[in-house]
Formats: sequence, structure tokens, C-alpha cells
Amino acid sequence: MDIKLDTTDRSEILRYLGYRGSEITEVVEDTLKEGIELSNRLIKIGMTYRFLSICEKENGVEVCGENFTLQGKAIRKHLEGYDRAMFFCLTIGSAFDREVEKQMVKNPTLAVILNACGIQAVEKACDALQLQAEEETGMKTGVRFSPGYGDLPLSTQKDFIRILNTERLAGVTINENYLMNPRKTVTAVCGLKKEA
Amino acid sequence: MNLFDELIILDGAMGTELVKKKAPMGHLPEELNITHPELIKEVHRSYLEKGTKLIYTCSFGANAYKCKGSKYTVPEIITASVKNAREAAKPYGAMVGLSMGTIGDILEPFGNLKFNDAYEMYKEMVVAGEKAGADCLVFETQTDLLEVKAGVLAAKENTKLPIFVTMTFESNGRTFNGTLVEAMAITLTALKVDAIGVNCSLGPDELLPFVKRMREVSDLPLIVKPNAGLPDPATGAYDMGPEEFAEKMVPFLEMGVSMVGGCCGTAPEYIEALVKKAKGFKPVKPEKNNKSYLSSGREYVDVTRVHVVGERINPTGKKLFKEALLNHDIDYVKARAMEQAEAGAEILDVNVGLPKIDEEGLMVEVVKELQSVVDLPLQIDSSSAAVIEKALRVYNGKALVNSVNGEEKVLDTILPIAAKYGAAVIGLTMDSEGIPESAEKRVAIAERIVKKCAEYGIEPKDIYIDCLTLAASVQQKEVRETLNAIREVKRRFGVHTVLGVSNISFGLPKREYINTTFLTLAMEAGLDLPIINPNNDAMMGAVDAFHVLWNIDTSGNHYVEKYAAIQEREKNADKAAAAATPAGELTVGDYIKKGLGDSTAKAVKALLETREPLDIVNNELIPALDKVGAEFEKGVIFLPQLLSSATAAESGFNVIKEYMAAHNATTVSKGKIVLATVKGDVHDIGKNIVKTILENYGYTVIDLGKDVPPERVVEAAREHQVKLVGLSALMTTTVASMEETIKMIRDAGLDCKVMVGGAVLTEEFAMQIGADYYSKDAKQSADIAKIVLGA
Repeated sequence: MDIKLDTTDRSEILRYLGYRGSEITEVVEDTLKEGIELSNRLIKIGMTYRFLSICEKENGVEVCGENFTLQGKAIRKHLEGYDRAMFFCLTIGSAFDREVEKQMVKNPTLAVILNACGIQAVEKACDALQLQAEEETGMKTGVRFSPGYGDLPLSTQKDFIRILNTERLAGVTINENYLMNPRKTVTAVCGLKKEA
Repeated sequence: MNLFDELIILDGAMGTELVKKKAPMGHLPEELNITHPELIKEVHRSYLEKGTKLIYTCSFGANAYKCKGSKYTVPEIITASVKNAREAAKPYGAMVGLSMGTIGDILEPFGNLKFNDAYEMYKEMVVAGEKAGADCLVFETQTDLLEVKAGVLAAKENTKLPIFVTMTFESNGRTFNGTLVEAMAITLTALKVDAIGVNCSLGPDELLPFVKRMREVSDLPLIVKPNAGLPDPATGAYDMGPEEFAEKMVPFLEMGVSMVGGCCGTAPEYIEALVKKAKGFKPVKPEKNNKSYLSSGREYVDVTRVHVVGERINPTGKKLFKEALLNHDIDYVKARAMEQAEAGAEILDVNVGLPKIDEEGLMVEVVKELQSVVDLPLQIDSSSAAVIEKALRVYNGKALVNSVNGEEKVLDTILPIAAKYGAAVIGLTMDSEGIPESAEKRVAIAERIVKKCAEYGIEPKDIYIDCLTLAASVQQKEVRETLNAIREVKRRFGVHTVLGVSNISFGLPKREYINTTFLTLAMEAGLDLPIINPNNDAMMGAVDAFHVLWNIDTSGNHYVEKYAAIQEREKNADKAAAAATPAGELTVGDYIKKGLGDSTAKAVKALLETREPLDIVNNELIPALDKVGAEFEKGVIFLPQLLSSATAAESGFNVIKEYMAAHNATTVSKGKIVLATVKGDVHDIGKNIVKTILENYGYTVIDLGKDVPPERVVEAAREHQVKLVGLSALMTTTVASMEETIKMIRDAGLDCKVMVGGAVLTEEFAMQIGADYYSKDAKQSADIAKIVLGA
């Protein structure tokens, strides 16, 4: 998959930067442009996904055959009525982190802008992946839900990493505090069903 | 084993075969070695029957990090895995390789895994593997060259087994971590492992060019274990059948690789087909590679023309650099590195030696941090053997060691270290009696160095002789001796040469004329690596011009591209300057508000002609920042604007700092503040933003970085006698270490306040964990600093 940021992403990037509608100086305007261009050179999508059967359980949602239950009320409600779901992990790669680290020393303004571009790039790529999955399966995907949302424990991250074999397939690892590397990475599950 | 004697057939995938045999795949498939040994042996046998001569144990993830929570210890699993493989292999007379994948956590500075911990984890595996009877050690599916180095050192220092390393590359010829094929091959060849190669991620077609590139830069035996083509991301199925796979492996056999097998998607039938195709093929021992390479963990330099070594990471004679080292300002060092890389340096000299400084600790930290932001090979510069060794251990490429000289004792101390870590070495043509005047005597010392290097297995191509520059103002006659010596050592010993150039003009006015001319003469004499300041345009220009005139820069492409762009830029800059607002119309405050760094610096320079530095700081820079800060608070401007103003102010501050350093005044600081992202947390963008703001308010920030243990915070607070410590945490999971750190600061009885910040914190929560202040954003941290430090 190849995704690029463009002017349509500007408002989202600004939103991540806490923009509330004041006049933007020329320097910041130029840096925004630079950030978007630089991002497009750095983004290298790594991803892995699986379509799995799920069933509702008292304490959450069981993922069939994977020795894994998504715990909590929130996820149960979120996946209510679905018997299949797409599990995925998507990252824009480690070169992006390296550049943010570099720019934090050289040009902090660019660093925070890049950081926001990274968030937007991951989100955009996740949207594209869902669309791609819909085309592949002829089914509709629901809204994404990630470990740490609602009462789904952050530690669930570990199971996502395991069942998706992310280390080998996408270069994504997780540390003891469930932080993922590369940093601009999303793991999520979304329901999958035939169009009503 | 001589790996050029016979082609060795390896096995195929393990995991998928286990699934086929309905093995219960839990969190850690390696446990099956103990719970279901027969299943494992069955898979091994299925490959052995087809002709595999070296099987890999089922121990890919059997390391301490991934085995946490297992009922079994790492040695137990490893031992069982080797036992199973051995038992299966025996009837077939096959060998057993201990398979080791990545640890699964990321090394510092991007992750929080320590190099030494990685070393210990691999040590545990290799020691158990050797004891259990493995024939060789296989590091496979690796992505980080530094992690590989930890493993290789653990293997070399604790076992006698042959070491094989295969890494996994993406379609761009880099690992997930960014290591280029050549950088991997060069570094591991220098480290003297026994075989290198590729496995996983791609099919034979895609891997072929990478393996050819490895052969270009390395004469080691090669290993190829591709996937069965490319996977369908949705189903995970691979697109090549056994026959096609085997057919696509033929080019590897033809080029003479030593070991072939399969990775994901391959099964016994694939190996069967491969064995048939492989009949009659033998490995081909390549001709000796006589090129000298240097590499970082990502890129490499093939020393075939003039390459500039940047000299700026060195405190000697640099007041601000010294101060930065004393304040543990690693960012300052990083900035100097990036600046030089941008200016065209291709290798960076790194020297952090200062009296009364922990040079070992600092060097290790600087090397780690530099390799996270620059791609250039490093030249480790220290007079201490211990410092050099520590640095080489954690360096993720093939470094250059600066330096040895003709003294026996120095040679016998440093050369074994360079040889062990596979570094190239600089040899100064001087000894205990000083620098000889004549070229002849310098050449004689070079000869001694070359001979001594040979004893330690360091080849001439990896020796860089420094014929030494003497000041023309003092020893005018000897200038030509240096040049003659360069010519002579290259001709006689087949070594490379290196030279610190700028000393030549010491004591003379308009040094640039002398430096550039001397550099040009030295290049003509055969200088390969001039050590210079790459920010000097004239010197860089001389190097670029030399490459044109010597017909190295073919058609002058590089020269024309670079200098046409520069010429264009200069023209535009002149126009812009002519059209610009006349100076004086805008104030320093206006420039800062607009985020214009260069203009701020210029305006401050102008002010320095009539006003005192401190007056400018207190009455121009700080009020301007206050004003932007207030607007940020009110939501009139947003974070990038606050930061661009802060960095513009920084340009102003830097002018003041340089002015004061030049006028021997103590530098401006309104007090020291320790900042740290707490243990376990590796996201530090928030802390870095706070740092930028605080520094631009005139505070000296002792930045401890991320994932900082509580003890380190206490130690730094005590050492620097700070009155304010700032702690940052991003995750709910790491707020606990924030609380622990605060408690430790209190227990140590330090007279200092603690401010905390981070995405998951609230005022209330901050008070609950014992902080003095909660800082909701960077601006507020400056307000708190003002309250606490009273400035």
C-alpha cells in the first residue's frame, strides 16, 4: 500500500496540533508544507491483517481458535451483532520516528508538525486498508477499536502482536509497557459483515 | 567446517509444519520442545528425509524476553530444542544449528532494551546451545545490526561455535530498522562471523539482487533462505510451488552460495525439489576483496576517492562544546553531527575527552545517540583504550579508530581491540620521540605500524596512516615532508591515508588560503581522508573540485549539480536582501513573533554593538517570548507557532552565548533544571518541547533523555544541585515510575521542587503522586521555572 498526504489532510494535521483558527505565520505555513512533503518521503507502510471468527462471551468477545478473548463491556458492545472481524496492525515505519528524533534537535517546529503528519498518515492508511479489505471480501467493515479504548485493557496489545505475527510481517514489536515500535503504529479490530 | 567445500542444504519452515501436524500452538511454540518433543522431531525428520544437511532448532523465540511467563527457563527450552534436533539428525549424519530470532524489544535509544541486557539474553542462549551440542549458532530474521552485534559478541566471547547471521530485508534493500544490505555485510565481515545471508520477508527473485550486493562487499560464505514467494496478506498463503521455488533458487547456486534452504511458506517438498536442482553445484570461493569499507548501522563508505571526516565533535578549544559536555547536553553534540552531515562530511570524528569527565560513559552514550540520528560511519577518537573498546562494543557499524602511533605499547594495547571489533585504524607517524622531521623517518614508523597490524590480522587496506601536519609558520621546511610521506606510504604499503589539515595554518592570518592550498596538495599526493571542518565552503569546494580535475566526478555531474544550485541560491539571496525591509524597522520581538531565526540573530548582533548581552536577554528576548507565551495560553497561537518563536529566540540566544564565550564571560544561565522522561517511557516529544522552551527562556537544561531510572534523576539533581526537576510520562503504565522517582527524590532529602507533565496526567493526579507542580504545557513549565528559580 502506498499513501500520500496532501492538502486535504491539512485540517486534520492542524487539529492534531491544537489549532484553533488564528492566523498562521509564514514560517509555520512553510514548515507545514515541508512537513507534508517530508512525510511523503518517509512513510513506508508495513501491515498485516487477518479475518477471524468471533463470538460474544460474558466477559467480552472470544476470537475463535486463537486462544484469545477481547475483555470488557466496551468491545462487546462495539462488536455486537458481528460474527467475523478484521484484526490488523499497520505502521508507517521506523524511518519516520528517526526523522522526528532528528528534527527535535534541528527544528522542533518541524518535529511537532511531522509528528502530527504521522498520526494523520496512520489514520489515512488505516482507512485505506479497511476499504481494501471491503473490496477483497465484499463485506462492510465497522469502526476501528484498539487496545486501551474503553475498558479493553492495553495489555491486549500483546495478543494483537502475537496473532498477527507483526514482528515478522510488519516490523512491529512491543515493549513491557505495551508501547509499540515503530511509534506511529495502529493495532485495531473492526467488525465485518455483509451489507444489510 | 569449511563452508566453501560443499553446498549445504538447509531446512524449510518450522511453524507452518507444526500447524499442519496439529500441534497446540500457544503463546510460545518453543515450549513444544518439552511438551511435544516427538512432534518437533517429526518436522525435523520430514526435512532430513528430503536431504537437509543442516537443520535449525525450534528455538527462534526462546529468549528471556519472549519466554517471560513460561513454565520453563530459557536453558531448559534451548537444551530440549537441541536435543530434539540432534536425535532427529543423527541417523542422517546431519548438523544442528541453534536458531535465534530477534529478542522482540527495541534497543536504546528508540526502545528501552539495554545493549548489555540483549548481550546477556543471547549469552544465555548460546551457552546453553553449545552445552547441549549444537554445531553452529544461527542468528536469523534479524533486523537490527546492533542487536546482531550483541548476539555475535555474546557468541564469540562465550562459545567456540561458528556463527551464521541472516537478516531480513524489505523490497527497498533495507531491514525494517533501516540497515542497508551492504552495511550489514560490511559490519559482519569486519566482525569475522563465519557466514552471512538473507532469510524471510521476500521470495528468491526479490532477494537475488541483495545477495549479489552482499557478494560485492564481502568474501564470506553466503546463506539464502527465502520465502516461497510473496504472501497474500489476507490469507497468508505464498504464491510459489516447490518446483518454481527450486527453479528460482538456481541463480543463487550458480553464483556459488554456500547454504540454501527455505523460510516462510516452504515445506519438505520444496526442499526435495531444491535438492534435485542443487545437484552438481558447489560453493564458489570469491577472490579476495581488497577494498576498504567503513559503515554505520545503515549506510557505508567505500573508500575509493576523497572522503571528508568532520572534525567538529571535539571539545578541544571549543568553549561551548565543553560546556555542553559538562551539562550533559547530548542534543548539542547531535546537532553538530547533523550539521556536518548536511555540509557533506562522510565520516564523523567523535571525541568527548575532557578532564574530570566520565569519558567512557559519555562516549558510549554519544555513540548510541549519534547512530540514532546520523547515517555516517564514526571515527572513535580517544587516547584511552578502555573508551575505545566501550565505544566499539556499542557501535553498530565498522568504525575507524583514532588512533595508534609507532609506540610499541600503544600498538599492543589498541590493535587487539580494533582487530576484535573489526575496526579500521588510524596510525600516526610519530612515537615516544615525537614527530620526525623527515618523510623517510615517518615512513619508517608507518612501516612499523603496518607490520604490527599484520600481527594482529589487520590488513593494509584497513590502515589509515596520518603523516601529520606541522604548522607552516613554525616548521615551514617540513610541510613538503608530510606530502612526500603521504606519497611514499601509499606506494610502499598499500595503505590509505588520513590527515588533520587545518594545523598547517596555525599562527597565520587568512588561514583559509593556506588550508585550502595545503589540502589540495595533500589530495594530489594521495590523501584519502582529510579531517576538516565541513562547514568551511572553501575546503569543501577544494575537495569537490579535486574530484572533477582528477576525473573521479565523471562529467563533473556532482560538482555541477551542487554548485549550480548554490550559485542560484546566492543570486536569489542577494535579490531578497536588496528587496528586504531596511534593518531597524522590525524589532527583535517582531522577528521572534514571526519565527524568523536568521533575522533575530542579525538583529541581536546589531544590538550587541551598543548594549550589554544580559540587557538584551532580559529586555528583548525574554519579553518577546513572554508575549508569544501569553498568546499561546489564550489560544491565539498554537504549538508550532510557539515553537517557531522559541527557536527564533534560540538563534538570538546563540549569538549572545557565542559573544560571551568569545569575550571570556561566564555564559548566561538563569539556573539549571533537570528534565527526564521517566523509566519505561520512550516517547519524549513532550519533554523535548518543554526543553526547547525552557532553554529559550535562558535556563540550562540537564536533559537525561527518556526511559530514565529514578536513581539517575536523583544523581543528576544532586550533582548539578538543581532546584527544579521536571518529569514527563506519556502512558498510564509509566506514571507509576513517575511516582517512584518523586519518592526517591524526597527520600534523598534533596532541596528541589518537582514539576510533572504528560498526556495522562491531571493537576489532581500530579498532587496525588507527590509532585509540587503540574505543568499542563510547555509554556506553564517556564512559568513554574520562574516561580521556583526566581528569574
